[in-house]
Amino acid sequence: MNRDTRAANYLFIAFCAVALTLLILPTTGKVRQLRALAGYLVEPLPYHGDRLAARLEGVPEGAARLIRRDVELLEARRLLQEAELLKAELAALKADNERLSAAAGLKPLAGRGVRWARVMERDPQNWYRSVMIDAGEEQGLRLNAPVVGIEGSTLGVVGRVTEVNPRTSKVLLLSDELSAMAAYLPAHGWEGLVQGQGTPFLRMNYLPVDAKFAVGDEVHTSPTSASFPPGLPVGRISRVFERDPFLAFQAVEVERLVRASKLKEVLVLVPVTEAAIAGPPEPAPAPKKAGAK
Amino acid sequence: MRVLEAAVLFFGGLAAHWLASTQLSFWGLSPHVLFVLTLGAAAAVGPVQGQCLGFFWGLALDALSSHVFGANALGFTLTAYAVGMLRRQMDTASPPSQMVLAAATVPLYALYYGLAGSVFEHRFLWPGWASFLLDPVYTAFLAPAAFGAAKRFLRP
Repeated sequence: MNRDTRAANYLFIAFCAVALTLLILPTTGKVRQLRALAGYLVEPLPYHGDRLAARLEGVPEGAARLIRRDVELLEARRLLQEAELLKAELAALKADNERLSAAAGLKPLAGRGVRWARVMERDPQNWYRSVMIDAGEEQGLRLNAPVVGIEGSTLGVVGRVTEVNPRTSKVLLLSDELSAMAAYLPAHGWEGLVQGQGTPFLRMNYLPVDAKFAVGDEVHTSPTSASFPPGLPVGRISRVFERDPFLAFQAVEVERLVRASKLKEVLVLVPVTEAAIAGPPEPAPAPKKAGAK
Repeated sequence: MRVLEAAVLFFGGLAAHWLASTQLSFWGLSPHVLFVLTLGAAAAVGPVQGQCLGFFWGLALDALSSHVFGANALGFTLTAYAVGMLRRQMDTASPPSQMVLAAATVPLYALYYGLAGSVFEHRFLWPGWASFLLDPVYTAFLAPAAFGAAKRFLRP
């Protein structure tokens, strides 16, 4: 046996003896307290979560309480940070709620139910043509259902549903060139046809040549409209076109009350039927498309 | 000078262990830095210095632990003695063999610590399956660096 091996053996015996002595001897409360506090200061991770109770087992009450309170404080700080995030989210939801509450003050429409939907997509190639909304057949939407929107606290016609998928729908906007609807001027009673022009403005045709009206007059949906309930605001006259002597009617430009570019949510008016009250139908596998009119 | 370098390794090891336990820990897993440094020291310079460092590193760990006082000191001493005595019979120079040595001994050490708890604290100190199975892997990845540091500071 060489010198190094002998030294290693002696050291081994000595260290083992010391370690075993430490293992056997009971530690006093003060030593346990110091160990727990030093351990928590240097390596706090094992004291968090469900291991806390196991780690504090046997630790004198003073040190255990101190560690427990610190763990609780850190947890409270974490929860406070989460609460700040929730507060910001709540403020955004509150603003949404106030906007929607103002909009919800609309008069109930006989025989029609209302479904809220969010605008989820626009076609950049055809900005004034259509929007996709996040409600579909499962929410009770039907083809040709009228769609109204809210800008501030103003309600106005937006368009109608022309494609229904299980959970989404396409809304053909009034500003699309293929859109048309019967409308009238409530101030004078004249009726005409409002048509889209592919611009933010609409055109109202077929007003009698002897009709009198002025810029700012309101335009509402007509009682003779096949798709829209009567009396819904559409817009205001923004310009009276010069009368064409070759035409047997007058035309005006209508500025919409609800601009498509500001749409975030829409109200889809759905017929209230027994089936609709009973619940939404089974989702259809393929979308249905309506002809544009 | 060698004493100074050993002291640097000792305190550097403690700092590295603290860093690994607090900053490099994820999913509740942390590498056994001091254990693998003890392996490296014993493999690099033999059982005498390995035991000295291992005993005091173990004592430091025991001071920071709320469980059996002295179990780490005894365990590290046993490990350093065994590795130091057997270092001529195994390859501890190449990183893969160092990783294998660390990966094999860490779970054995966890079992030893659990048994020490059952003898002196009357309950088996089980680290949990995740720690038992994955800590060796995590530690194995640090093994080449730990062996390198031990060799660098404890040149024979």
